[in-house]
Amino acid sequence: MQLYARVAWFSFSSFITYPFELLASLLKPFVGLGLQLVFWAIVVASAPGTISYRSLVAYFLIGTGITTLVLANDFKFGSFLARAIKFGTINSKLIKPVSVPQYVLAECLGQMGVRWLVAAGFVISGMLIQPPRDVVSLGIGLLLLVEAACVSYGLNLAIGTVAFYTTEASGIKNVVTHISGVFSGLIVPLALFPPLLRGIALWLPFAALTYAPASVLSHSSFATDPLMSLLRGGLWSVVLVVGARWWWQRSLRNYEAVGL
Amino acid sequence: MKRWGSEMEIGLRGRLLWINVVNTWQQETAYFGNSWGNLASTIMYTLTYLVFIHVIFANTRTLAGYSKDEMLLLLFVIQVNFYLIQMWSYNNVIRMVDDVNMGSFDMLLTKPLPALYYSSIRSVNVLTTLRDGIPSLTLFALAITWSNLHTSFVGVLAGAVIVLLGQLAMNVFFFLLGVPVFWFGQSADLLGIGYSFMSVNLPYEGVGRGLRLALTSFVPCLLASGLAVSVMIGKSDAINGLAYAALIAGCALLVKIGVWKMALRSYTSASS
Repeated sequence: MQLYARVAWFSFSSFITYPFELLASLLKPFVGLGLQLVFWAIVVASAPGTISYRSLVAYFLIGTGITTLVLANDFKFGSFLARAIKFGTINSKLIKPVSVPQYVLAECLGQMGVRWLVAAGFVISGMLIQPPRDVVSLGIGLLLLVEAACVSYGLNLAIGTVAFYTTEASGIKNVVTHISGVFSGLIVPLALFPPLLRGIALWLPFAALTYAPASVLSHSSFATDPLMSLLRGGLWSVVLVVGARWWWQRSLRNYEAVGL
Repeated sequence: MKRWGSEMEIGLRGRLLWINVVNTWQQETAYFGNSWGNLASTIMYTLTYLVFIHVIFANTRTLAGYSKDEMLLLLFVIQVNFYLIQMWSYNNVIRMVDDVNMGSFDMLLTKPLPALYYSSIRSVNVLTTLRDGIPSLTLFALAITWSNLHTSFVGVLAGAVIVLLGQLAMNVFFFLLGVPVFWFGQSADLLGIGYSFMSVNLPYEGVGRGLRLALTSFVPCLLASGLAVSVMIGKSDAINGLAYAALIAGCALLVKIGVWKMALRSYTSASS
């Protein structure tokens, strides 16, 4: 564990070598969220009384924050794995007595360090604007956050594993990113979906990434059944983590490294 | 003699463009599986975006005065802009940043080539644009009920020219986000901010006056999409829109040339 913490710290230190980039990294999440909130301000102004803007702001702050915290925003961890496979840098990790996914995850977390801080700030700000209903909701929300991390880990690992077969996996990653963007509730809260589509979306793993934790951590009209969300998220966590790890191990056994 | 020289110059630029188009094509076709992945990605993106619009208009009849079809037209134009920018602009700035950061920019400067032009057309992703753009734009086009749109020939023509002028302005915007690499050694994350502005789906009339001015001048993301569509559907005056877009694009190009000269002056070669 200490080793991975050191890897993350080293990666973070390399990143902050460029202070100008550090500033850009801090600014980027605000730009994305700001444009999204301007769009929703227009939607709210066009449909007065239908949606509370305050709830939307809180929801998007928490949702964007959580999605970034669990690396599901652009599946960076999966990209890191895929790049390591594509460029062969995975070979130098394979000869070390480390778990390759954990090692790459540590590198990724180090690079994301600054955005993590901003994301944590987003979550806290959202909860201050629209706090959870009660302490129980807060507890369930935190459990949902853990589930979001597990689901994201499984999806990221699966995206990285694709690179063993296709070498370049950015297209596959984009497919997952686009589907996830809509069906996780990151772009539109699932509560605003038509009933049939909402029913389907709630049972997909993506809902566990954003909508489930964000709607429980801020008490609003977007509230969902927390216990059902917990159950669904738990199921997907087990399926995706176990499935992705099994696939990774299986693919690794068939991998022919150059230079080893 | 001078005329001959300029013909040689045009010929050289044409050959450079062709070589880079072919080279990019070869790189793009190298990963067959990923090509299909990208195609699937763009189709999924389009379908999910259509779901998004469906969801929005299930909750409201109009958006800042835009009907569902007008909003779909806006998204159609945003997609056109996105693919054009990806094809000729954004990736080249990324490459310039990488080259300066990794030290390989020196190689470019040692060649007897027009450096600004060469670095602007180094990667021209024709295949990606056709492969991803055509299915995506077809889906958007099919989703629009064209008879519900009130457009005129002059409006559409003016809108199309504004799209092109907006492309020029956006190219300069990305360049300005990438060019700090000459002074600071890296600007990939700063350029990443620019990506957030590539698909801004705000109707021109929906944003306040100050923000509208900012998003059509300093960050000209609303020029090629929002203003162009507003002119196409007759919500903004065509002549005024064209004049404004031409002014912004002209100023942007002057700024680019000036900043490029400054950047080259302050560039510290990695190998000397």
